[in-house]
Amino acid sequence: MTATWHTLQGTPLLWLAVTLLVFEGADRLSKRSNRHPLCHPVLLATPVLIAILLATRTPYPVYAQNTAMLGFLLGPATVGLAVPLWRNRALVRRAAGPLLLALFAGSLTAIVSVTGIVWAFGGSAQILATVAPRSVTTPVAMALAQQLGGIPALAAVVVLIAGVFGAMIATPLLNALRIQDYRVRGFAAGVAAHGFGTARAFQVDELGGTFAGIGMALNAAMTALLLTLWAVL
Amino acid sequence: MAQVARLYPQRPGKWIPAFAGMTAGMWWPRSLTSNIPAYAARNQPSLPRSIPRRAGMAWHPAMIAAIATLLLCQLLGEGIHLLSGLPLPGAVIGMFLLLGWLLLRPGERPTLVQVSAWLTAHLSVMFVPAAVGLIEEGPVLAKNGVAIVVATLASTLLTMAVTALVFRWALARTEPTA
Repeated sequence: MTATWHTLQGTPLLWLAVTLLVFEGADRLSKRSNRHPLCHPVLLATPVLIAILLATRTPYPVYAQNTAMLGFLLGPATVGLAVPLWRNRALVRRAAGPLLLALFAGSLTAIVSVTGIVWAFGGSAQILATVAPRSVTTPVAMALAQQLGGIPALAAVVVLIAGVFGAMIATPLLNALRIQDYRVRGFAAGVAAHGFGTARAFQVDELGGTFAGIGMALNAAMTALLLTLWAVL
Repeated sequence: MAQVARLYPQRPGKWIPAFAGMTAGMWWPRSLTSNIPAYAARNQPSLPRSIPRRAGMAWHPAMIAAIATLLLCQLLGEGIHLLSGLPLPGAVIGMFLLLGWLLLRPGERPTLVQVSAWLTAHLSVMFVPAAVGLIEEGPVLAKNGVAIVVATLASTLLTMAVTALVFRWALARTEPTA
């Protein structure tokens, strides 16, 4: 029995099965909550999986090694972000100037504000590098955090928090600012809250959702460029 | 035809063999075999021929090409990243490469659209293992947790407001009617 367990503990079979099962359960709960941002499957699944690792005394590196296949898919998924941009090229081209200006302003605000506040709290360089890419989609944020010397796991969670919060405040905040154009509303949600903002925007309006997707993909590129520039300087 | 069709009823959303509709009649003149149940039964789809197909996502050979395209772009991006020493992640360089390639070569690419949409739709499950990595960051969280959460919330709010206001302002200048 123990021997069997020890053999299985070192296999992707066990950990992929456990991860997918837990995620599927979390996803069903999330669906039942009508996709409320606070019920995001990752938010529900992560604590459960952490508890399972603690209960079975599995060291995290063993788990990470055996679920590396899932993480690998983040690479091609990041490359695939080019596809929605390309599909919506006509929309992007029509408002290219204002779009890029807003993108630059939003991206810069995101980086400066988050690093500024953490710095004011006395965060180390490692923490600054972790939070700097907080407004971009998770795979890019993790890659950037790693590149800049941050902690990818923490970056993933920071991005998650930003997404949940962004999706929750999008409608009240944009109403308070009296923004009526759905292109503007969607784009702002996508730039500030990546996939969460995009999902939220699609719930409200089709055009808004499309612009949120554009904002998310463009911001991934812009933040990567700005942070690269920052790292080089 | 009817024989095989009854063996493989096409229920939307269920897995059905891709060649369920293909019968003996396609290989022989229909009149010779189509009425003979034995022939229909003998020519039912063999295992390698039955490809799972579902309402949402049909799996077909062009998908290999689409996946290969994504991986090739990432590979080239990673190569550029390693050779040039640019701190830009390889996958992000790959994204630019793919965008450039798509813009340079016109044409519809339904399969690439489908595959990348599928990947994007399932991003969440892909970063679960990374999020579980928090298990090792206890000390960092205890020390910086509050700062990180405060900064993240404030920055999200600011970013959304700034982006929206700048976009509206710039749009109003270029499209006076809006």
